Amino acid sequence: MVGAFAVGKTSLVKRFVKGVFDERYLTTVGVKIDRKEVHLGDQQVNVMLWDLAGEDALSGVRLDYLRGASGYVLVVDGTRPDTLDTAITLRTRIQGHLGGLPSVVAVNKSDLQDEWRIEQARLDTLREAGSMVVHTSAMSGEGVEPMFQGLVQGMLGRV
Amino acid sequence: MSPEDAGVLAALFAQTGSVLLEEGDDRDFRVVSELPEWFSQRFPGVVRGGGVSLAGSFPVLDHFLVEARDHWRHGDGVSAVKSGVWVEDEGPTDQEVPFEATARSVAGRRLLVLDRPVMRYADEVRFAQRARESLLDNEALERAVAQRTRMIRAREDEISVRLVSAAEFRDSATGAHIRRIGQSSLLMGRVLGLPADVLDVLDLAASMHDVGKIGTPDSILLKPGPLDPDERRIMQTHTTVGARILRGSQVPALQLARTIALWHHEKWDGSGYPDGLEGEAIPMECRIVSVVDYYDACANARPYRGALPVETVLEMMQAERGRHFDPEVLDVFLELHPEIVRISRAIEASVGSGAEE
Repeated sequence: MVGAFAVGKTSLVKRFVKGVFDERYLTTVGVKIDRKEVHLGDQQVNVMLWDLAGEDALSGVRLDYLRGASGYVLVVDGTRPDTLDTAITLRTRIQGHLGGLPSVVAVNKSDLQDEWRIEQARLDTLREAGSMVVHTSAMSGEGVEPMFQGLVQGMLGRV
Repeated sequence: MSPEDAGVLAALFAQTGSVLLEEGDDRDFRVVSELPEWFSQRFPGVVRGGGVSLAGSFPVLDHFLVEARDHWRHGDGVSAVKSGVWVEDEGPTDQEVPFEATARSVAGRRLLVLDRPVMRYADEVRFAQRARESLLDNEALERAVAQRTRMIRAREDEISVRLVSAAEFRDSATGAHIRRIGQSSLLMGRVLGLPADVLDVLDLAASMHDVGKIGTPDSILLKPGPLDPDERRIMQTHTTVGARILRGSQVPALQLARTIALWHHEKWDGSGYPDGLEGEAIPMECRIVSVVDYYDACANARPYRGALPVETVLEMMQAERGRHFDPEVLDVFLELHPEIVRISRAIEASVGSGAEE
């Protein structure tokens, strides 16, 4: 899980793994490890989720954490357009570091439609470039399962 | 180191909650220090001096050992490499517990320290939380300022449009004229390299050049024939009336509109009105509007005469090069004339032929 700070990476993992949501913003330091069994048809996949501290003006994402990763989620906050720029920059750095790993862009906080600031055209451009883009809400749960399932399918080469 | 000293060191590790391990040739680890409680719980049955396989116990550690082994092979024997903090859930309540590993080589021995830096982690989280909340506040503030700026700009535009509409209301035939002057002036301004902040407001400001006609009596403004000298003098006051309407504003569009309203009938040779300004003393924006306004007035029908042929108008303008018009501005206008005709046609199409003068 990579992206700018406060985009909801930890909340997405909590929703996915534990089915809960906490309204408070609690920052992540270092990396947080979680595990989840994902079922794709009759196949069971043990997924280990590395939730990396977000990128901000004070500290960058430690890309060496991604060594050995099978895929990654780029998380964007739909109410903060700059977080899409951060995600795109991170993706470029990751591709330079590790090559073309399966990935998915989670445009999070889709429940905050009144505050939505990401232009659809920019997301369309990402899709046209081959990225899987999913609107998610860690609060309501919208899109969370499909987003992770889509990533795992990509990791297994099913997409 | 004496056995006593070694014992003190091992106990110190236990007190700080750290555990010192040494990698053997089989890549398993031997416990060097006393065992802290958490380590004993995680690896039951292991005792000091005993062997332990860490593989699979800590995913981040598995990952870090690649880096650690590289350091043990190639390190300088002084420095250390750290894994960075990782957090795992522990116990029935899923309590978040921080871990950190440090790899160090001492006298060729491959040492690994495993820490649970609870206090330091708590401090780092507090610091990061404060810093990031502050960054979020700043982001929110910037968004609010940007939104406020957009609202102010929209308000400026609306005020200006309403002023223009006032003149349009008096003489509906001038509506298309107003739009043509604004858009043609903007095109000219771009080609002549006016600054971005001027271009930002030039269309609107130029559109308001005749706003002073709101003070011109209908008997003169709508007279279906030539004006006599007194009527012409009254007609000319639309420049100063417009400037009075627009004076004292802090709104950039209105400030430029005032300048244009006042001096768009000045002439390059100083024979214009109201102030008889000459040459570059006339602001560039006014020289631009002077050219496009003259062309537009001649090439379109007036209340007292029909439209003149375009070729005739262009010849008349060239005859005024260096007299009525700034030569440079006139040359740019002539170059852009085809584009200006396209602009006029587009406006005609949008307002309908009945709106043409």
